[in-house]
Amino acid sequence: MQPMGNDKPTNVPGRPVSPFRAAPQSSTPFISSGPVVGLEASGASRATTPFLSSGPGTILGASGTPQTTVPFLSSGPITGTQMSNYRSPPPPPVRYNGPSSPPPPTSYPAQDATTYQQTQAPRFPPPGQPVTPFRGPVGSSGPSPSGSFRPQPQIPSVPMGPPPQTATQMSSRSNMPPPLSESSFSATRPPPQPSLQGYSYGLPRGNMPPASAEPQLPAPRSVSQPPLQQAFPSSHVPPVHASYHAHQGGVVPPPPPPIGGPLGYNSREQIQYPNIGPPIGGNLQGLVEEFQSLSVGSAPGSLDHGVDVKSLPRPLSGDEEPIKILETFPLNCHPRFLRLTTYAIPSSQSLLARWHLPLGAVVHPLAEVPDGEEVPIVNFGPAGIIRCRRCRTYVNPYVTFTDAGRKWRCNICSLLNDVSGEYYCALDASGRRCDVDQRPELSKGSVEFVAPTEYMVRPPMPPLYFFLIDVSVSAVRSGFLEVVATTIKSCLDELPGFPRTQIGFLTFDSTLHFHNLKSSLTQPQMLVVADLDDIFLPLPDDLLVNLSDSRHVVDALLDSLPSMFQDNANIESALGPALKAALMVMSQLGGKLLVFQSTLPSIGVGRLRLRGDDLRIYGTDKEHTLRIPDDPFYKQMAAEFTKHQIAVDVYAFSEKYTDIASLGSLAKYTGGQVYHYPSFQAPTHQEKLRYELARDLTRETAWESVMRVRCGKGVRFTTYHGHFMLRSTDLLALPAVDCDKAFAMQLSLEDTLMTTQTVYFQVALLYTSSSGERRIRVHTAAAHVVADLGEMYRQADTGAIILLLSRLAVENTLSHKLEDARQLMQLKLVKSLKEYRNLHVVQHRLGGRLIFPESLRFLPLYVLSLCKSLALRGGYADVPLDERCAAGYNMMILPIRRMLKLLYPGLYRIDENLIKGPEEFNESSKQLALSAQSLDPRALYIYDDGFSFIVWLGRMLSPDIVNNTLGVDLSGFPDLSRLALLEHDNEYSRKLMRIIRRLREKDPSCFQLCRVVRQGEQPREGSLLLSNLFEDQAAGTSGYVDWILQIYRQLQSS
Amino acid sequence: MVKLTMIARVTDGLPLAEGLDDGRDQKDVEFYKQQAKLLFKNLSKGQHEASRMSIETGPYFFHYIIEGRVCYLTMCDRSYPKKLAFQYLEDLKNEFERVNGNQIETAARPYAFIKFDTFIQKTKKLYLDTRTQRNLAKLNDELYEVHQIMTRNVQEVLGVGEKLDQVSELSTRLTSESRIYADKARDLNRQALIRKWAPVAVVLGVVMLLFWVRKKIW
Repeated sequence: MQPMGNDKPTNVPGRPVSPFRAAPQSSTPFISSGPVVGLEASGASRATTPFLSSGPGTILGASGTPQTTVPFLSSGPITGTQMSNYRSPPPPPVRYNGPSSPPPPTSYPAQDATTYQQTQAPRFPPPGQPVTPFRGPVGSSGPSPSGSFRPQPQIPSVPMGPPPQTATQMSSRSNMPPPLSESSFSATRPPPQPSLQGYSYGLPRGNMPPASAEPQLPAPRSVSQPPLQQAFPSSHVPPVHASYHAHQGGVVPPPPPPIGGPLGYNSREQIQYPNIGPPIGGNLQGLVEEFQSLSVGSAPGSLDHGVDVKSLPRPLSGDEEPIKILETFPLNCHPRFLRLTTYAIPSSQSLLARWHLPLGAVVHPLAEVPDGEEVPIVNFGPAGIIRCRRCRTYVNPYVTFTDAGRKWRCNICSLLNDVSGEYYCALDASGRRCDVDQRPELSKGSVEFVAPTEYMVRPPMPPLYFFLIDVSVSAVRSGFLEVVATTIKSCLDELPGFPRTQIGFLTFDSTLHFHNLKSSLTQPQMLVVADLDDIFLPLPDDLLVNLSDSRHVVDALLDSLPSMFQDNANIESALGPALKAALMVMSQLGGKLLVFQSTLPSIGVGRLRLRGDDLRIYGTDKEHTLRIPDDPFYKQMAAEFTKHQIAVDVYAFSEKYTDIASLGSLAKYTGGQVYHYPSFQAPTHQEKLRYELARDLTRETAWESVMRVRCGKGVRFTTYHGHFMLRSTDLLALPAVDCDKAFAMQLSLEDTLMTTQTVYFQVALLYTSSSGERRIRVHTAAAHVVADLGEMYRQADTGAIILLLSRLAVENTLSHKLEDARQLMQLKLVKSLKEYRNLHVVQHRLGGRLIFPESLRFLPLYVLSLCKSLALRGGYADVPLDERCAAGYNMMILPIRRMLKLLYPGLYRIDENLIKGPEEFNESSKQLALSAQSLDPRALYIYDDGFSFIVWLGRMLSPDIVNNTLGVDLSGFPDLSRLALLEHDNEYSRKLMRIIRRLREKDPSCFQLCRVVRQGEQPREGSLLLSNLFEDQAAGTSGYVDWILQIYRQLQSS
Repeated sequence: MVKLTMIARVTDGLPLAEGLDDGRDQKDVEFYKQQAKLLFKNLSKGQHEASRMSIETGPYFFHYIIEGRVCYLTMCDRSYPKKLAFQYLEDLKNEFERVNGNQIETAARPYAFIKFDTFIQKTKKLYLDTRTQRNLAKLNDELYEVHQIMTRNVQEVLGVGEKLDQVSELSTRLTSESRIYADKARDLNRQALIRKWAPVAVVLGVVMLLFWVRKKIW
């Protein structure tokens, strides 16, 4: 066992030892019992609690009587092995160790059943001892087996311990002849018990056919057996299910009828092996590896493919945060702030070269946290923040104190620093500081430090909003001017930072209109500047005013704004000069500039030309030029803005082409965001605009911030992807940043081999809060360094990988053809799968099946839908250029959860919810595969991609529902594109709106505009819904099944 | 005209508030801000200065008052009436004490009262123009006397510490140099001695030699 522990030293340090230790005496007997395994397998991380509660109670009753054992036995040949596995497993990481630290022999009170019971009795009666998550399961299987099992576990455990790769070894061991086991047991408990015999028989049979029983596999199977299942209500996997239990890695043997359904692919922890026959263990020779496999049919390449559509993995439960890392490293920050593409960092360049996927991190520094988990604030006062002298790392939970607490060692550069007098604290026996619990910076992965004066070049700036509003004729006609004015007015009370908030307005068409908002005026004064070549400010002050002082003037301006320009016939738009003027007004303070633009900028500096309507340019080498800014002016302006701490948000309401590619670069380099409302019409779009503008204005924003990510020796962040300006090689300047923006970055390795076992990452965001406090938010995380490619795959995080991939792809489209960007992604996917295949194909016969790591089972699907996403899809005719660019800009800031939602939108059937009673709509259980086959003409569906809803009405849906929900009679063939879904006074409509509201609440960062489409209503149905059913074959793109086959074929060839 | 306004705690020099967008169109404002911060640091070192003081720096004047362990400082043009500047500071002081008086000692982070900048801004505007009726009235108010307020140069104030350093440096240099001087003097002495008696010794030696040789030969 020990050796095993060593194999995975990584787990050891992090793992929570305590539960195990505490438990040993009482639990040890139980550990042996198979059921526990189930837990491990199924629930590893999450299931534990349910166990405790439910487990003990039920189990106890059973445990008392020896008979219970019988059923167990039946199931049980395998149990012996299970036990072994199980023992160690408790905390998933611990598993390996488990064996190494077996309870002392003395602890095993029960050698035979009788003794066992006695000992048990005292322990069990209290239903829930918190100590033993395992206990519950154990009890169920357990009383009798426990005695017998106990010893065994040790033996089998050995095989378990080693990582899957060692399969061969294991098999040899697994065979372990009874004598072997005996010997090992003997140490712990001398006499073989009579009662045990039953089990022992079972064991030899089931687990250890001399030939080559594998200890690992059997264990999982046994778990799946019905009796055990009871014990684990929490386990997600139905017992019958065919799924492999992968310990850690999700070991899946590629047996023939692999996976019954999508469920089979559940998260690896849950996976169980479906074997029904007890002696199955023997069958799966040496194929133990932690991968998922997919039968691709006997004749690869044949048209009549053997892929079961239903069995393909689908992320129906949305994003899975890699919470498990918190078990290995409980001191890490929550994955919502920082996620790595793999939590196993390769130790050498050569290893990295074999991992073809991006290696990097996704940082979401201001992610919204649920109530009660707020980031703690630490104030060091005048003493200053404790940082490493050399690498400037902030003090964090992973620093170690030595020399009786007088020195601390930086975890990133391992420099020994002095502990200042005020911060000194004695160490306890284990070398921990005694005050760790009182100091969040030493016990939490995420903290916020109050910045002392040295972190300020100027006093904290007030929140500042400056509005640059296009008032040319198209703006007035589409009605957005009015919506914007009323929305701003309604948000004035909620702007952050009262009473310091500053506000200002500038409207423009072919001239610039400044507005004097001096607080002593009763009405705002408009000052027109017509000289666009030489911009000057007509007033030194009062263009930017304190909101609370000038509130009445601002109100008056917003009230009159729509009417003021009602009859404006000016069609020109002088955006460039207006930007320059805004810069002059704001340059002293910085802040947020909101640009509302409804036409192509046509005069003055920065005028843009119509482009992108040229079909011929597509497919040529010049194609990408359409997606990059036309005029360097915008990038230069963006650089100026960033220098003055100004962030730009661009709201574009175009009926026609407005060159989002150019305008968006303003947002791209200033940490802003692009909001695009194609062909905006106030009646239909105003709600969306209103919500999103209000959120933009009122969400908590971090001002004048900079962010830096530090990492340990041997690794280095090389490229950054997102909306920001790179100030030096690794300092991101973010004039404003908020909870809706995430950043991705790629790691590279230094030439030398990494010698440490753990590498640390630290994100530090220095910012000014709206309340005028300067703070530093620090997230720290650790990851293991491995020398094994398989481990990298096991610890991979699909969400982070796909986010990084998507940003790389979008950036790729700025310098290459769309087609190239798509192919590059496919190439990466194929290469990585091939590498994985090579890892395993040698040991196992895998003909006709596609294998992929359990952790990346959704990757092919996500890459497919990424290729079909708005930003990358098709060519000229498929997506208007502006929408494509806007989607690209959007993808550059989305956090992981929303990105995955966008790539695999939810599709829910809700007509039953409308008809039937009030049962609550449960989105997670009802999500359907994204394919036209899921659509039933008799039903009503909602499609939700995080940005919009589409309500799809089946052709044969009862007219009753339709008419009531829409409030119009469909037989009159109304124009559904103009229809706004409102709440009508009837049950159906109310229920529908309730469901829609619930879906919206799940994602507050965006307002999902609801559109209604009928089956067969072309072309709207096609463009709105059918082209977004990513699993289907559409023009020029492959469906999910074809895609899998295509990838499989590429894996086979070459 | 008021260019710069800062409020800081005297005990430790912690800045408490600062006027908003001070120093628009002024390129060297950062330099003067640094000077002001140095000033605060000096004050916090416990050099007891008068509670009211004007300090000239370049084309400007710093005026400050210290009241209740808080220093209110402003920077004005040379031509700006001293009287008005101090009245401006008095206004700030009154309002600041009224609003934040009891939290001053407990403030733990820099710019804890940054919200005060809106008031600074407002008050500053009142004092912008020296010829308004209100300001003229204040100028003529004999009750507020500013004549005794000392005026010093910023170099003097900031230089106090500097000069001490210089003196001590000079003195240390003096001791070391004098030691060298003593060594050298001793050396010279020896050389002088040698130079004085060496010829005599040589002559004597020769004479002795001659005597000795003569004895031998005879």
